[in-house]
Amino acid sequence: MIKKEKLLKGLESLLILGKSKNPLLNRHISSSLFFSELKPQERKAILEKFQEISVTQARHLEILSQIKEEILKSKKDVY
Amino acid sequence: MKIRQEGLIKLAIIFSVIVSLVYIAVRTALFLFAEYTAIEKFFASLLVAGDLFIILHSTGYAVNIIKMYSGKKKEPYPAYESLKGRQPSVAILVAARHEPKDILENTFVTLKNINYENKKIYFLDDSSEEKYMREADELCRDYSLILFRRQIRHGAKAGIINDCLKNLTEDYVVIFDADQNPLPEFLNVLVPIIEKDKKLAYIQTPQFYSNIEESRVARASAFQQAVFYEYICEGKSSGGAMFCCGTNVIFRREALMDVGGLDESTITEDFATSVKFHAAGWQSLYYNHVYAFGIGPNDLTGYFKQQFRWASGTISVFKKVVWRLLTKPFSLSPFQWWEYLLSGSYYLVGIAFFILMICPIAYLLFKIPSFFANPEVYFLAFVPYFILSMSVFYFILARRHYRAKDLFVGQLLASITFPVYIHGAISAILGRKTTFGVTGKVRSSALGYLSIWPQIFMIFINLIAFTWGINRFFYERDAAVLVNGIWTLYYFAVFCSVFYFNAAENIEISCKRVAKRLKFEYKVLEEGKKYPHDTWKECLGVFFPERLNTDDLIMVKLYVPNTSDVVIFEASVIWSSAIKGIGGYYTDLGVTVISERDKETLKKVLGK
Repeated sequence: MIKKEKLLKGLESLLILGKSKNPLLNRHISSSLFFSELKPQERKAILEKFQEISVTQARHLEILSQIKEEILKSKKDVY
Repeated sequence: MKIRQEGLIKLAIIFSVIVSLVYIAVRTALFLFAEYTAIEKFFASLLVAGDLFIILHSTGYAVNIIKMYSGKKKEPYPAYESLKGRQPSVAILVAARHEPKDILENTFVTLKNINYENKKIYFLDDSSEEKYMREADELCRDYSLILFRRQIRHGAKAGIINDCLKNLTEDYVVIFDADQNPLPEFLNVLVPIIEKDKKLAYIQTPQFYSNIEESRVARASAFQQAVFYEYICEGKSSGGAMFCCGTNVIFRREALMDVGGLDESTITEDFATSVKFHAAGWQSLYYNHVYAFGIGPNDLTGYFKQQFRWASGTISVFKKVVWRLLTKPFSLSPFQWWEYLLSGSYYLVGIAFFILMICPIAYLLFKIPSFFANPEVYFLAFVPYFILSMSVFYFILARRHYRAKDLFVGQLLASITFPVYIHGAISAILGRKTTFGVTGKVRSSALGYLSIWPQIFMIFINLIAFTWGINRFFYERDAAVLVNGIWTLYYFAVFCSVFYFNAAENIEISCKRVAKRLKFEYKVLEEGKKYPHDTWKECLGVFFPERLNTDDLIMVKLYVPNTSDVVIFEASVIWSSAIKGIGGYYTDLGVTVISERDKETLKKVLGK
């Protein structure tokens, strides 16, 4: 069992953790690949995978935000 | 095999240094014993000084590489487990003044995610405008940051850090610039190292620009950075002379307090404070592993501003270093003196470069000789020096996977920055006060022709000198005219690159409807993430099966017709039609994130 306040705090930190993946994956890792000596097509394929992960991540964040909103609105204090 | 290869590299470097010294010896001897007029000797002395400066710094680079390869085999760095469950306390400081909120938000998100429990994050807000102060308050609330503000401004970034330091009790202090995004392992790796060696005042890690695929200037400056953060820093560190670079660095708080905090008398407080640390007997370390990603200047405006700040700040510290050398010659070791004098004088390169450029022009247009040698002697002394030193430079960096082409573009950017270096150096020598400017990070815009007049002037004067040189060669058949003509042609080409770097990389906003029925997929990344229109790199109109909300951030995967290629980009929804047409809901998109390559492909798809 977990109290509402603690659960919300946990969800908040998960949301922050999730948010950091987008800038890191999309921008920073793509530029690191620049130095990888991989062929443009190979880099492209890797980037595509990263962006797919990024998109999935965005979906997870959306779901997490919805859960957080629902818990916030809910009158229940123990989960 | 590896040892043998390293031995050969050292040999090649030593040989290139010897050839350089032979070259400068020949040059100096010719200058001293030649019988020429006063004006000719004046130009010749300038050229010798310019050459000497370049060779001194090349030798410094060679020394760093040799030092790095010759250093004692280091023990492996202590791992996180060496802390045995005890986490020393760490204060993470981010100082900012009028920085865009989205840049700060990325930074704080990544700071919150640093995988280390015993840390506190301080936001040192030095903004004076209401808008930025309000945003700082919001960030502190959203990310549980400790907000620090001060009543009286002094000493720019160093000043606010010093003011905050007075209230800190943590064992270590980490400083990040407002645009640096560290990886979660940053502290887990660095804290055990600094914790083990009590004499270490700070550990510096590299800066890495991750917007290299977004702008030519950012890419070129990233490669300049790479030259510095590879062998130069490693060599300095091996000799105990690594200076602090102001961000991505962890300090021992006790050491900072011991030297009285950061030096506020200069805008390059990091460099100035490093001298104080080393003079007080503290040690430093460079840890060559990228643990933070940053944003480089996107355009020439930002780049010139950054370089002016560095040039003026470093030369002002150089004056202090020279004074210290004269008054306290034993406060640093000989190697430390050598390194500080080299690093401190680096930004005089603008003056040296200017001299090297005007000498061929003076010879072609006004028949003022400055080399004092016949072409045979010139080729015999100069060509081996030039070929060998350049080959060693490119070869050594190729071992770290840097391509010659990219490094050359970095050198081009440095060459066209010569007026900025001269301006910065003169300001510092005259002791003019300069203010701390924030490097532009968001917009990419072109400078007006008036702002780049020195570069344009150099293009014209070199072209005129070259044309006149052809004329002279036609009548005189003098090889010296030919050699100087080649130099003016080279400088002409170098300065033409100012247009390459200055080209506006934001495409004019004019949404073009995608005419063909293109196959694409999309996902909504974030709702209501408003992007200002000047950050859009392209604009296009597409039919969507659903109606999207204005300002939503989406990820689009577009299949290029008749190929297996795809274009992936992030885009902001500018406008979406309320009425569903035959193809769906017509929607205008502003592209916010796209790679250079994809941008070109997208332009082709759009028929631009």
